[in-house]
Amino acid sequence: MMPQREVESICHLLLQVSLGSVVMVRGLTQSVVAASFSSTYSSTSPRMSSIHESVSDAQHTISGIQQDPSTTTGMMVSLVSLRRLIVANVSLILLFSSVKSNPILLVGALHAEVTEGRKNDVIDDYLHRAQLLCSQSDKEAQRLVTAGIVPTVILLLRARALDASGLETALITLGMLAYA
Amino acid sequence: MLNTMLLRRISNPEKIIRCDPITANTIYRTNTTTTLIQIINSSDSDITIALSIWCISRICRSSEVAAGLIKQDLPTTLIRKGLTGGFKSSCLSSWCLGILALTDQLAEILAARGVVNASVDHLRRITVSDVFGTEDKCAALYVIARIARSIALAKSLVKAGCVPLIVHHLSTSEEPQILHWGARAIGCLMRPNASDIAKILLNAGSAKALARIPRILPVQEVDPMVSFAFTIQRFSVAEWGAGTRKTLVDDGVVDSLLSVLRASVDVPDPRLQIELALAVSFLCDVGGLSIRKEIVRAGGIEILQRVSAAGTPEVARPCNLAVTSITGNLWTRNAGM
Repeated sequence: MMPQREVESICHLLLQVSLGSVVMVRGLTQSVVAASFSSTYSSTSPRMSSIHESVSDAQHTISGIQQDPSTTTGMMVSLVSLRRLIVANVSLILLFSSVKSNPILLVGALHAEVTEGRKNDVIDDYLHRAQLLCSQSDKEAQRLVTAGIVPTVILLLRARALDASGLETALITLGMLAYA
Repeated sequence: MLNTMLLRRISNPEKIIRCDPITANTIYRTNTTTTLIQIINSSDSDITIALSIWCISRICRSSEVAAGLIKQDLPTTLIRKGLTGGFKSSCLSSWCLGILALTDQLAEILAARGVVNASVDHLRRITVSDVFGTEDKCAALYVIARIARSIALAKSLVKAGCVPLIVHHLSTSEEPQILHWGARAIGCLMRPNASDIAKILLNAGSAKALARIPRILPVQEVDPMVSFAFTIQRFSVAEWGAGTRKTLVDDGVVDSLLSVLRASVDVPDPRLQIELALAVSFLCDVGGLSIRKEIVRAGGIEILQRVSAAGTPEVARPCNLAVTSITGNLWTRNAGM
Protein backbone atom coordinates (compact mmCIF):
# COMPACT_ATOMS: atom_id res chain seq x y z
CA MET A 1 0.00 0.00 0.00
CA MET A 2 1.42 3.37 -0.82
CA PRO A 3 1.70 6.24 1.61
CA GLN A 4 -1.44 8.30 2.03
CA ARG A 5 0.13 11.49 0.65
CA GLU A 6 1.08 9.87 -2.64
CA VAL A 7 -2.29 8.33 -3.26
CA GLU A 8 -4.06 11.53 -2.39
CA SER A 9 -1.89 13.66 -4.67
CA ILE A 10 -2.23 11.20 -7.52
CA CYS A 11 -5.98 11.10 -7.15
CA HIS A 12 -6.12 14.88 -6.96
CA LEU A 13 -4.09 15.18 -10.16
CA LEU A 14 -6.27 12.61 -11.81
CA LEU A 15 -9.34 14.60 -11.01
CA GLN A 16 -7.80 17.73 -12.53
CA VAL A 17 -6.18 16.21 -15.56
CA SER A 18 -8.69 13.56 -16.42
CA LEU A 19 -10.73 15.99 -18.52
CA GLY A 20 -7.71 16.60 -20.74
CA SER A 21 -6.01 13.29 -21.28
CA VAL A 22 -8.23 10.34 -21.78
CA VAL A 23 -5.41 8.06 -22.87
CA MET A 24 -3.30 8.81 -19.85
CA VAL A 25 -6.26 8.34 -17.52
CA ARG A 26 -7.16 5.02 -19.08
CA GLY A 27 -3.62 3.86 -18.45
CA LEU A 28 -3.94 4.88 -14.83
CA THR A 29 -7.33 3.33 -14.17
CA GLN A 30 -5.79 0.04 -13.20
CA SER A 31 -3.51 1.65 -10.64
CA VAL A 32 -6.42 3.53 -9.12
CA VAL A 33 -8.40 0.32 -8.84
CA ALA A 34 -5.42 -1.31 -7.16
CA ALA A 35 -5.09 1.61 -4.74
CA SER A 36 -8.81 1.44 -4.08
CA PHE A 37 -8.52 -2.25 -3.29
CA SER A 38 -5.66 -1.62 -0.88
CA SER A 39 -7.54 1.10 0.92
CA THR A 40 -10.73 -0.95 1.10
CA TYR A 41 -8.68 -3.78 2.52
CA SER A 42 -7.58 -1.63 5.40
CA SER A 43 -10.76 0.39 5.68
CA THR A 44 -10.79 -0.27 9.43
CA SER A 45 -8.13 2.39 9.86
CA PRO A 46 -9.79 5.81 9.91
CA ARG A 47 -6.91 7.64 8.24
CA MET A 48 -7.45 5.63 5.07
CA SER A 49 -11.01 6.81 4.61
CA SER A 50 -9.92 10.05 2.93
CA ILE A 51 -7.91 8.07 0.40
CA HIS A 52 -10.90 5.92 -0.23
CA GLU A 53 -13.02 8.98 -0.93
CA SER A 54 -10.54 10.51 -3.36
CA VAL A 55 -10.11 7.18 -5.11
CA SER A 56 -13.82 6.74 -5.60
CA ASP A 57 -14.08 10.36 -6.83
CA ALA A 58 -11.35 9.66 -9.36
CA GLN A 59 -12.97 6.45 -10.46
CA HIS A 60 -16.27 8.23 -10.88
CA THR A 61 -14.68 10.89 -13.08
CA ILE A 62 -12.80 8.34 -15.13
CA SER A 63 -15.90 6.31 -15.82
CA GLY A 64 -17.77 9.48 -16.80
CA ILE A 65 -15.03 10.44 -19.25
CA GLN A 66 -14.80 7.03 -20.76
CA GLN A 67 -18.48 7.10 -21.50
CA ASP A 68 -18.40 10.58 -23.05
CA PRO A 69 -15.09 11.45 -24.80
CA SER A 70 -16.51 14.64 -26.38
CA THR A 71 -15.94 16.57 -23.12
CA THR A 72 -12.20 16.26 -23.56
CA THR A 73 -11.79 18.50 -26.62
CA GLY A 74 -10.12 21.90 -26.37
CA MET A 75 -8.46 21.46 -23.01
CA MET A 76 -5.29 19.67 -24.05
CA VAL A 77 -2.87 22.59 -24.34
CA SER A 78 -3.15 24.03 -20.86
CA LEU A 79 -2.59 20.67 -19.27
CA VAL A 80 0.81 19.80 -20.68
CA SER A 81 2.66 20.63 -17.49
CA LEU A 82 0.26 18.61 -15.42
CA ARG A 83 0.75 15.69 -17.75
CA ARG A 84 4.44 15.78 -16.99
CA LEU A 85 3.59 15.55 -13.33
CA ILE A 86 1.32 12.61 -14.05
CA VAL A 87 4.11 10.80 -15.87
CA ALA A 88 6.29 11.30 -12.83
CA ASN A 89 3.53 9.89 -10.67
CA VAL A 90 3.07 6.90 -12.95
CA SER A 91 6.67 5.95 -12.40
CA LEU A 92 6.08 6.42 -8.69
CA ILE A 93 3.10 4.07 -8.85
CA LEU A 94 5.19 1.52 -10.73
CA LEU A 95 7.87 1.80 -8.07
CA PHE A 96 5.37 1.26 -5.29
CA SER A 97 3.64 -1.59 -7.04
CA SER A 98 7.00 -3.33 -7.40
CA VAL A 99 7.46 -3.02 -3.64
CA LYS A 100 4.02 -4.47 -3.14
CA SER A 101 4.66 -7.56 -5.22
CA ASN A 102 8.16 -8.15 -3.91
CA PRO A 103 8.23 -10.00 -0.56
CA ILE A 104 11.97 -9.47 -0.05
CA LEU A 105 11.69 -5.66 -0.28
CA LEU A 106 8.59 -5.71 1.91
CA VAL A 107 10.33 -7.74 4.62
CA GLY A 108 13.35 -5.43 4.47
CA ALA A 109 11.16 -2.35 4.79
CA LEU A 110 9.19 -3.89 7.66
CA HIS A 111 12.36 -4.86 9.51
CA ALA A 112 13.82 -1.38 9.11
CA GLU A 113 10.60 0.22 10.35
CA VAL A 114 10.24 -2.15 13.32
CA THR A 115 13.84 -1.74 14.46
CA GLU A 116 14.50 1.88 13.56
CA GLY A 117 11.56 3.96 12.33
CA ARG A 118 9.01 2.57 14.82
CA LYS A 119 6.15 4.43 13.19
CA ASN A 120 3.14 2.30 14.07
CA ASP A 121 0.96 3.33 11.13
CA VAL A 122 3.72 2.58 8.63
CA ILE A 123 4.34 -0.80 10.28
CA ASP A 124 0.61 -1.56 10.11
CA ASP A 125 0.60 -0.69 6.41
CA TYR A 126 3.44 -3.16 5.81
CA LEU A 127 1.69 -5.84 7.87
CA HIS A 128 -1.49 -5.35 5.84
CA ARG A 129 0.54 -5.79 2.68
CA ALA A 130 2.06 -8.99 4.07
CA GLN A 131 -1.44 -10.26 4.95
CA LEU A 132 -2.60 -9.43 1.45
CA LEU A 133 0.28 -11.46 -0.01
CA CYS A 134 -0.45 -14.38 2.37
CA SER A 135 -4.12 -14.39 1.40
CA GLN A 136 -3.24 -14.37 -2.31
CA SER A 137 -1.32 -17.64 -2.30
CA ASP A 138 0.66 -20.00 -0.09
CA LYS A 139 3.65 -19.49 -2.35
CA GLU A 140 3.72 -15.74 -1.64
CA ALA A 141 3.49 -16.50 2.07
CA GLN A 142 6.39 -18.91 1.81
CA ARG A 143 8.42 -16.25 -0.01
CA LEU A 144 7.77 -13.88 2.89
CA VAL A 145 8.92 -16.56 5.33
CA THR A 146 12.04 -17.29 3.27
CA ALA A 147 12.78 -13.57 3.24
CA GLY A 148 12.77 -13.70 7.05
CA ILE A 149 9.53 -12.02 8.04
CA VAL A 150 8.84 -14.32 11.02
CA PRO A 151 11.56 -13.05 13.42
CA THR A 152 10.53 -9.45 12.64
CA VAL A 153 6.86 -10.13 13.36
CA ILE A 154 7.79 -11.95 16.57
CA LEU A 155 9.97 -8.99 17.59
CA LEU A 156 7.05 -6.67 16.90
CA LEU A 157 4.66 -8.92 18.81
CA ARG A 158 6.90 -8.81 21.89
CA ALA A 159 7.27 -5.04 21.62
CA ARG A 160 3.53 -4.51 21.26
CA ALA A 161 2.62 -7.06 23.97
CA LEU A 162 4.03 -4.61 26.50
CA ASP A 163 1.59 -1.77 25.86
CA ALA A 164 -1.11 -3.94 24.23
CA SER A 165 -1.74 -1.55 21.35
CA GLY A 166 -1.87 -2.76 17.78
CA LEU A 167 -1.58 -6.38 18.88
CA GLU A 168 -4.39 -7.59 16.61
CA THR A 169 -2.63 -6.79 13.34
CA ALA A 170 0.59 -8.47 14.49
CA LEU A 171 -1.32 -11.54 15.72
CA ILE A 172 -3.31 -11.89 12.49
CA THR A 173 -0.09 -11.66 10.45
CA LEU A 174 1.65 -14.24 12.62
CA GLY A 175 -1.31 -16.62 12.43
CA MET A 176 -1.54 -16.28 8.67
CA LEU A 177 2.18 -16.97 8.33
CA ALA A 178 1.95 -20.06 10.55
CA TYR A 179 0.03 -21.80 7.74
CA ALA A 180 2.63 -21.07 5.09
CA MET B 1 -14.89 -8.49 9.15
CA LEU B 2 -11.37 -9.69 8.51
CA ASN B 3 -11.28 -11.16 11.98
CA THR B 4 -14.48 -13.11 11.46
CA MET B 5 -13.11 -14.43 8.20
CA LEU B 6 -9.92 -15.56 9.87
CA LEU B 7 -11.67 -17.06 12.86
CA ARG B 8 -13.91 -19.04 10.56
CA ARG B 9 -10.96 -20.71 8.89
CA ILE B 10 -10.08 -22.57 12.02
CA SER B 11 -13.29 -24.57 11.81
CA ASN B 12 -11.56 -26.70 9.22
CA PRO B 13 -9.08 -28.53 11.45
CA GLU B 14 -8.14 -30.97 8.66
CA LYS B 15 -6.22 -28.12 7.04
CA ILE B 16 -3.96 -28.00 10.08
CA ILE B 17 -2.68 -31.47 9.28
CA ARG B 18 -2.45 -30.88 5.53
CA CYS B 19 -0.12 -27.88 5.61
CA ASP B 20 3.61 -27.82 5.72
CA PRO B 21 4.54 -27.24 9.40
CA ILE B 22 8.01 -25.74 8.88
CA THR B 23 7.04 -22.11 9.52
CA ALA B 24 4.88 -23.13 12.48
CA ASN B 25 7.82 -25.04 13.99
CA THR B 26 10.09 -22.03 13.47
CA ILE B 27 7.62 -19.85 15.34
CA TYR B 28 7.42 -22.44 18.12
CA ARG B 29 11.18 -22.87 18.46
CA THR B 30 11.72 -19.14 18.97
CA ASN B 31 9.62 -19.42 22.13
CA THR B 32 6.88 -17.19 20.77
CA THR B 33 4.18 -19.39 22.31
CA THR B 34 5.30 -18.24 25.77
CA THR B 35 4.64 -14.64 24.71
CA LEU B 36 1.27 -15.65 23.27
CA ILE B 37 0.28 -17.45 26.48
CA GLN B 38 1.36 -14.38 28.48
CA ILE B 39 -0.83 -12.21 26.25
CA ILE B 40 -3.80 -14.54 26.93
CA ASN B 41 -3.12 -14.34 30.67
CA SER B 42 -2.70 -10.58 30.83
CA SER B 43 -5.14 -9.22 28.24
CA ASP B 44 -8.72 -8.18 28.90
CA SER B 45 -9.76 -7.82 25.28
CA ASP B 46 -11.81 -10.70 23.87
CA ILE B 47 -10.44 -10.27 20.36
CA THR B 48 -6.79 -10.13 21.50
CA ILE B 49 -7.17 -13.30 23.58
CA ALA B 50 -9.03 -14.99 20.73
CA LEU B 51 -6.38 -14.08 18.18
CA SER B 52 -3.56 -15.32 20.45
CA ILE B 53 -5.37 -18.66 20.88
CA TRP B 54 -5.97 -18.72 17.13
CA CYS B 55 -2.24 -18.25 16.49
CA ILE B 56 -1.36 -21.02 18.94
CA SER B 57 -3.86 -23.38 17.27
CA ARG B 58 -2.26 -22.74 13.91
CA ILE B 59 1.22 -23.29 15.31
CA CYS B 60 0.26 -26.57 17.05
CA ARG B 61 0.59 -29.06 14.22
CA SER B 62 2.77 -31.85 15.63
CA SER B 63 2.67 -33.88 18.83
CA GLU B 64 6.03 -32.43 19.97
CA VAL B 65 4.70 -28.89 19.76
CA ALA B 66 1.46 -29.93 21.49
CA ALA B 67 3.43 -31.61 24.30
CA GLY B 68 5.53 -28.45 24.68
CA LEU B 69 2.40 -26.28 24.84
CA ILE B 70 0.87 -28.53 27.50
CA LYS B 71 4.11 -28.27 29.47
CA GLN B 72 3.80 -24.46 29.29
CA ASP B 73 0.46 -24.92 31.08
CA LEU B 74 -1.67 -23.84 28.13
CA PRO B 75 -4.63 -26.17 29.05
CA THR B 76 -5.02 -24.54 32.48
CA THR B 77 -4.91 -21.07 30.91
CA LEU B 78 -7.49 -22.09 28.31
CA ILE B 79 -9.81 -23.61 30.91
CA ARG B 80 -9.53 -20.76 33.44
CA LYS B 81 -9.40 -17.77 31.15
CA GLY B 82 -10.39 -18.90 27.64
CA LEU B 83 -13.50 -21.02 28.18
CA THR B 84 -14.97 -18.60 30.68
CA GLY B 85 -14.13 -15.50 28.62
CA GLY B 86 -15.96 -13.77 25.79
CA PHE B 87 -17.69 -15.47 22.85
CA LYS B 88 -14.74 -15.52 20.49
CA SER B 89 -12.15 -16.59 23.02
CA SER B 90 -14.32 -19.36 24.52
CA CYS B 91 -15.07 -20.75 21.06
CA LEU B 92 -11.41 -20.71 20.03
CA SER B 93 -10.33 -22.18 23.39
CA SER B 94 -12.56 -25.16 22.66
CA TRP B 95 -11.04 -25.68 19.23
CA CYS B 96 -7.55 -25.25 20.67
CA LEU B 97 -8.11 -27.79 23.49
CA GLY B 98 -9.30 -30.27 20.87
CA ILE B 99 -6.34 -29.58 18.61
CA LEU B 100 -3.92 -30.22 21.51
CA ALA B 101 -5.18 -33.83 21.78
CA LEU B 102 -3.01 -35.04 18.90
CA THR B 103 -2.18 -38.46 20.38
CA ASP B 104 -3.72 -40.86 22.92
CA GLN B 105 -0.97 -40.00 25.39
CA LEU B 106 -1.57 -36.25 25.08
CA ALA B 107 -5.31 -36.82 25.56
CA GLU B 108 -4.54 -38.67 28.82
CA ILE B 109 -2.36 -35.77 30.00
CA LEU B 110 -5.08 -33.29 29.07
CA ALA B 111 -7.63 -35.36 31.02
CA ALA B 112 -5.32 -35.26 34.03
CA ARG B 113 -5.35 -31.44 33.73
CA GLY B 114 -9.14 -31.45 34.06
CA VAL B 115 -10.09 -31.02 30.40
CA VAL B 116 -12.78 -33.76 30.58
CA ASN B 117 -14.93 -31.98 33.15
CA ALA B 118 -14.18 -28.54 31.73
CA SER B 119 -15.24 -29.56 28.21
CA VAL B 120 -18.48 -31.19 29.37
CA ASP B 121 -19.28 -28.20 31.60
CA HIS B 122 -18.61 -25.92 28.64
CA LEU B 123 -20.93 -27.97 26.41
CA ARG B 124 -23.60 -27.81 29.14
CA ARG B 125 -23.28 -24.03 29.40
CA ILE B 126 -23.58 -23.69 25.63
CA THR B 127 -26.56 -26.05 25.51
CA VAL B 128 -28.62 -24.34 28.18
CA SER B 129 -28.09 -20.80 26.91
CA ASP B 130 -29.63 -19.34 23.77
CA VAL B 131 -26.95 -16.77 23.11
CA PHE B 132 -24.38 -19.15 21.62
CA GLY B 133 -24.19 -19.73 17.88
CA THR B 134 -23.33 -22.59 15.55
CA GLU B 135 -19.56 -22.07 15.80
CA ASP B 136 -19.65 -22.26 19.62
CA LYS B 137 -21.68 -25.47 19.57
CA CYS B 138 -19.43 -27.06 16.95
CA ALA B 139 -16.32 -26.17 18.95
CA ALA B 140 -17.79 -27.60 22.18
CA LEU B 141 -18.69 -30.88 20.41
CA TYR B 142 -15.31 -31.01 18.64
CA VAL B 143 -13.30 -30.97 21.87
CA ILE B 144 -15.30 -33.94 23.24
CA ALA B 145 -14.81 -35.90 20.01
CA ARG B 146 -11.06 -35.28 20.16
CA ILE B 147 -10.56 -36.08 23.84
CA ALA B 148 -12.40 -39.45 23.60
CA ARG B 149 -9.34 -41.32 22.37
CA SER B 150 -9.57 -44.41 24.61
CA ILE B 151 -12.31 -46.40 26.35
CA ALA B 152 -11.22 -45.04 29.74
CA LEU B 153 -11.41 -41.44 28.52
CA ALA B 154 -14.76 -42.08 26.82
CA LYS B 155 -16.09 -43.52 30.07
CA SER B 156 -14.99 -40.49 32.05
CA LEU B 157 -16.66 -38.21 29.47
CA VAL B 158 -19.87 -40.26 29.72
CA LYS B 159 -19.64 -40.12 33.52
CA ALA B 160 -19.28 -36.34 33.36
CA GLY B 161 -22.64 -36.29 31.55
CA CYS B 162 -21.86 -35.48 27.94
CA VAL B 163 -24.21 -38.04 26.30
CA PRO B 164 -27.61 -36.32 26.82
CA LEU B 165 -26.07 -32.99 25.74
CA ILE B 166 -24.65 -34.38 22.48
CA VAL B 167 -27.88 -36.26 21.72
CA HIS B 168 -29.83 -33.06 22.38
CA HIS B 169 -27.85 -31.17 19.72
CA LEU B 170 -28.01 -34.09 17.33
CA SER B 171 -31.76 -34.47 17.62
CA THR B 172 -32.77 -30.79 17.64
CA SER B 173 -30.32 -28.92 15.41
CA GLU B 174 -30.72 -28.40 11.70
CA GLU B 175 -27.26 -26.92 11.11
CA PRO B 176 -25.12 -29.26 8.97
CA GLN B 177 -21.93 -28.49 10.91
CA ILE B 178 -23.51 -29.13 14.32
CA LEU B 179 -24.90 -32.44 13.06
CA HIS B 180 -21.48 -33.25 11.60
CA TRP B 181 -19.61 -32.69 14.87
CA GLY B 182 -22.40 -34.19 16.99
CA ALA B 183 -22.34 -37.43 14.98
CA ARG B 184 -18.51 -37.46 15.14
CA ALA B 185 -18.59 -37.04 18.92
CA ILE B 186 -21.03 -39.97 19.32
CA GLY B 187 -18.87 -42.13 17.04
CA CYS B 188 -15.60 -41.19 18.75
CA LEU B 189 -16.97 -42.21 22.16
CA MET B 190 -17.11 -45.85 20.93
CA ARG B 191 -14.27 -48.24 20.28
CA PRO B 192 -14.09 -52.07 19.89
CA ASN B 193 -15.44 -53.83 22.98
CA ALA B 194 -17.19 -50.72 24.29
CA SER B 195 -20.63 -52.32 24.37
CA ASP B 196 -21.59 -50.62 27.66
CA ILE B 197 -20.96 -47.15 26.17
CA ALA B 198 -22.90 -48.17 23.04
CA LYS B 199 -25.80 -49.20 25.27
CA ILE B 200 -25.77 -45.87 27.13
CA LEU B 201 -25.73 -44.01 23.79
CA LEU B 202 -28.61 -46.06 22.39
CA ASN B 203 -30.66 -45.63 25.59
CA ALA B 204 -30.17 -41.87 25.31
CA GLY B 205 -31.77 -41.95 21.84
CA SER B 206 -28.67 -41.44 19.70
CA ALA B 207 -29.79 -43.95 17.03
CA LYS B 208 -33.03 -42.04 16.41
CA ALA B 209 -31.07 -38.79 16.29
CA LEU B 210 -28.61 -40.29 13.80
CA ALA B 211 -31.38 -41.61 11.56
CA ARG B 212 -32.78 -38.08 11.45
CA ILE B 213 -29.66 -36.59 9.77
CA PRO B 214 -30.30 -37.92 6.20
CA ARG B 215 -33.97 -36.98 6.49
CA ILE B 216 -33.37 -33.29 7.11
CA LEU B 217 -30.17 -32.68 5.13
CA PRO B 218 -29.56 -33.06 1.39
CA VAL B 219 -26.98 -35.67 0.44
CA GLN B 220 -24.74 -32.89 -0.94
CA GLU B 221 -23.85 -32.02 2.67
CA VAL B 222 -20.94 -34.43 2.56
CA ASP B 223 -19.39 -33.81 6.01
CA PRO B 224 -22.46 -34.69 8.11
CA MET B 225 -23.19 -37.71 5.92
CA VAL B 226 -19.63 -39.02 6.25
CA SER B 227 -19.84 -38.57 10.03
CA PHE B 228 -23.19 -40.39 10.01
CA ALA B 229 -21.54 -43.36 8.22
CA PHE B 230 -18.53 -43.19 10.57
CA THR B 231 -20.76 -43.39 13.64
CA ILE B 232 -22.64 -46.41 12.26
CA GLN B 233 -19.27 -48.10 11.73
CA ARG B 234 -18.31 -47.36 15.32
CA PHE B 235 -21.66 -48.72 16.60
CA SER B 236 -20.99 -51.92 14.64
CA VAL B 237 -17.52 -52.47 16.06
CA ALA B 238 -18.47 -51.53 19.63
CA GLU B 239 -20.31 -54.81 20.13
CA TRP B 240 -20.00 -58.10 18.29
CA GLY B 241 -23.49 -59.18 19.38
CA ALA B 242 -26.83 -58.54 17.71
CA GLY B 243 -28.35 -56.23 20.36
CA THR B 244 -26.90 -52.93 19.07
CA ARG B 245 -27.68 -53.75 15.46
CA LYS B 246 -31.28 -54.61 16.30
CA THR B 247 -31.77 -51.22 17.92
CA LEU B 248 -30.22 -49.53 14.88
CA VAL B 249 -32.75 -51.29 12.61
CA ASP B 250 -35.66 -50.50 14.93
CA ASP B 251 -34.73 -46.81 15.09
CA GLY B 252 -34.58 -46.51 11.30
CA VAL B 253 -30.82 -46.07 10.89
CA VAL B 254 -30.55 -48.78 8.24
CA ASP B 255 -33.30 -47.28 6.07
CA SER B 256 -31.61 -43.87 6.31
CA LEU B 257 -28.25 -45.42 5.43
CA LEU B 258 -29.58 -47.13 2.32
CA SER B 259 -31.44 -44.03 1.16
CA VAL B 260 -28.26 -41.92 1.45
CA LEU B 261 -26.27 -44.62 -0.33
CA ARG B 262 -28.74 -44.62 -3.22
CA ALA B 263 -28.67 -40.82 -3.49
CA SER B 264 -24.87 -40.68 -3.19
CA VAL B 265 -24.33 -41.87 -6.79
CA ASP B 266 -24.58 -38.26 -8.00
CA VAL B 267 -22.22 -36.79 -5.39
CA PRO B 268 -18.72 -36.27 -6.83
CA ASP B 269 -16.93 -36.79 -3.49
CA PRO B 270 -15.80 -40.47 -3.31
CA ARG B 271 -15.31 -40.18 0.47
CA LEU B 272 -19.06 -40.37 0.93
CA GLN B 273 -19.65 -43.57 -1.03
CA ILE B 274 -16.60 -45.27 0.53
CA GLU B 275 -17.66 -44.51 4.12
CA LEU B 276 -21.30 -45.46 3.48
CA ALA B 277 -20.34 -48.78 1.83
CA LEU B 278 -17.96 -49.52 4.72
CA ALA B 279 -20.78 -48.78 7.17
CA VAL B 280 -23.04 -51.34 5.40
CA SER B 281 -20.17 -53.82 5.36
CA PHE B 282 -19.45 -53.39 9.10
CA LEU B 283 -23.13 -53.72 9.99
CA CYS B 284 -23.43 -56.98 8.08
CA ASP B 285 -20.29 -58.52 9.50
CA VAL B 286 -20.16 -60.86 12.52
CA GLY B 287 -23.39 -60.74 14.50
CA GLY B 288 -25.40 -59.05 11.76
CA LEU B 289 -27.63 -61.95 10.67
CA SER B 290 -30.92 -60.10 11.17
CA ILE B 291 -29.55 -56.91 9.59
CA ARG B 292 -28.34 -58.80 6.48
CA LYS B 293 -31.89 -60.00 5.86
CA GLU B 294 -33.19 -56.47 6.42
CA ILE B 295 -30.71 -54.99 3.91
CA VAL B 296 -31.43 -57.64 1.27
CA ARG B 297 -35.14 -57.00 1.70
CA ALA B 298 -34.63 -53.23 1.29
CA GLY B 299 -32.73 -53.77 -1.99
CA GLY B 300 -29.31 -52.99 -0.53
CA ILE B 301 -27.41 -55.27 -2.92
CA GLU B 302 -28.78 -53.57 -6.05
CA ILE B 303 -27.96 -50.14 -4.59
CA LEU B 304 -24.40 -51.21 -3.77
CA GLN B 305 -23.90 -52.68 -7.25
CA ARG B 306 -25.20 -49.48 -8.84
CA VAL B 307 -22.85 -47.28 -6.74
CA SER B 308 -19.96 -49.65 -7.49
CA ALA B 309 -20.59 -49.51 -11.24
CA ALA B 310 -20.83 -45.71 -11.29
CA GLY B 311 -17.79 -45.03 -9.10
CA THR B 312 -14.01 -45.20 -9.39
CA PRO B 313 -12.07 -48.39 -8.40
CA GLU B 314 -11.53 -46.99 -4.88
CA VAL B 315 -15.33 -46.71 -4.50
CA ALA B 316 -16.00 -50.09 -6.11
CA ARG B 317 -13.77 -51.96 -3.64
CA PRO B 318 -15.71 -51.19 -0.42
CA CYS B 319 -19.00 -51.66 -2.30
CA ASN B 320 -17.97 -55.17 -3.38
CA LEU B 321 -16.74 -55.81 0.14
CA ALA B 322 -20.17 -54.84 1.46
CA VAL B 323 -21.92 -57.15 -1.04
CA THR B 324 -19.65 -59.99 0.08
CA SER B 325 -20.46 -59.21 3.71
CA ILE B 326 -24.19 -59.43 2.99
CA THR B 327 -24.28 -62.50 0.78
CA GLY B 328 -21.25 -64.56 1.81
CA ASN B 329 -20.87 -67.08 4.61
CA LEU B 330 -18.53 -66.63 7.57
CA TRP B 331 -15.40 -67.65 5.61
CA THR B 332 -15.94 -65.61 2.44
CA ARG B 333 -16.77 -62.55 4.54
CA ASN B 334 -13.43 -62.74 6.29
CA ALA B 335 -11.63 -63.40 2.98
CA GLY B 336 -13.31 -60.26 1.66
CA MET B 337 -11.71 -58.18 4.39
